Amino acid sequence: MVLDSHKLIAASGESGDRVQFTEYIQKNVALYQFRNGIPLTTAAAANFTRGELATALRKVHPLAILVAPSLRFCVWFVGLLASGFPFHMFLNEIPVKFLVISLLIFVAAMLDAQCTYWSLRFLDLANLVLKKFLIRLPMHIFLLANPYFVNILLAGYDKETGPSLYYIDYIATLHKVDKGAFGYGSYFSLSMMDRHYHSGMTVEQAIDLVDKCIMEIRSRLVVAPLNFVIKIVDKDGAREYAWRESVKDAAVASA
Amino acid sequence: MARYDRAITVFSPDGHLFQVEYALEAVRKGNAAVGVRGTDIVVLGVEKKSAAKLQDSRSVKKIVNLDDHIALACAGLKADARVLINRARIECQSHRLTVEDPVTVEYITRYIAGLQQKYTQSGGVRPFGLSTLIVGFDPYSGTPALYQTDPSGTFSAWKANATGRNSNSIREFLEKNYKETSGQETIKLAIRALLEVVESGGKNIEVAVMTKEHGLRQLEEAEIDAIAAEIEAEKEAAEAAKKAPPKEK
Repeated sequence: MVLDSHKLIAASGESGDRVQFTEYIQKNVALYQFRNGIPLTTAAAANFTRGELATALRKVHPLAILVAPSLRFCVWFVGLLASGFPFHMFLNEIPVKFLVISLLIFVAAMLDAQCTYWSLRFLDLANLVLKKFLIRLPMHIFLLANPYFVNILLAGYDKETGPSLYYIDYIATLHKVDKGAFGYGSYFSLSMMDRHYHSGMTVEQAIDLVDKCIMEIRSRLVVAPLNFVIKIVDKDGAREYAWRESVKDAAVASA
Repeated sequence: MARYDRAITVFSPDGHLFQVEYALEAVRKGNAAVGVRGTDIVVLGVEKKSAAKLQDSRSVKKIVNLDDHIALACAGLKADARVLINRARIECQSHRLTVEDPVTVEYITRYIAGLQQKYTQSGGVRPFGLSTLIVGFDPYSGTPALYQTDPSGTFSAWKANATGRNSNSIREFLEKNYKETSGQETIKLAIRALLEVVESGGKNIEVAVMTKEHGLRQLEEAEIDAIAAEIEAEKEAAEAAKKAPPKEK
């Protein structure tokens, strides 16, 4: 997606979050330009994006504080019951009051992580079943925060610093990189780029490398996407460069 | 009488809102601003106090962008303007985010006027001492538009209008001389209207033109001077023509 005249943003992740978040960033970058008369540098835009992700990652909905941990506990507790944990032994020997208090502390502090783990596994399972009914539980019902599940590559060209590329993932990691990739395809394309990338590549060489990566993904990744779009940004601005399609839109329309 | 202008936004017995009328007074004392709509262009001009010797004149801008296709000029309290402009800019982007379309000129005018009205009817606030001229191009039809808002929160569409100091004489001038013009002619008309109440050219006025293709462009001082000189020459020629016929007789 074109962020502004000299910036591109590529996002992967949950489709809703992806659109919502990138458009939100895009509008804020535009607002900055109107307020200050000059555009953000690529570095500034990347840091702003990271900041927004980091904030969302730690923002806690007040209700979620109550609901999410108890949900997690329920899942964990049911799991214990199902596994045949010998509760009756403890009930006979230790006073109930003590049991309740220690259980509360136990849950709140020590086992929350474990609850989270099992809850997320449970969620995966539940979603597998619910898929039949076209229902999908969002991941964040068991978490305190509600982060954007998007990974971002941000490219831009600045007059002073030239071209730059930033790697930002959904837990708000920010890296300035020469090459980057996300998703399942990244396992193939990153190694491809490690082998063939060198500094000072021409546009043609870079496009050729991208094509190599696409070919690798198509031939080795089972769930490879059908179509790819290549966009570039340089001193003349951000623009669409080419499509690498294995299925044409027109063919779909006529079918 | 005096008691009704203490409390904010309370009617006087004869139906006046004094705070709003005082705000209008602040507008009348503010710098003059002119807007002229052409067929393919809209022009905004404002009077500007000559900058102090050591001041960076770039930091004093009176015509600003709200969005790529919308610009605003205002007369009145500059401090209030900053707040209003900021809110309008946020709304422009917010509108894009929610409906994926740029705002229309009428929409953003309605929003600004609505905001100004809100400040005449809420507790603990005073009205904006601002009258704004909003110009822009409709993102769908591509037609230029010119709107005006005032402190009471009313807004209206115009072919050409003025606000601020001496706005009445400028408006009279525009009423007499307005023609459907385009391009350079429209710019000239706007500058001529401003020169009715402002002495000399270039230094004392700020002009920005907006076209559909290129968006807002601030005219350079030299450009304004050139047009002002042109106008001056035309005036002299017209006067000479007036004087000339009696000589022949």
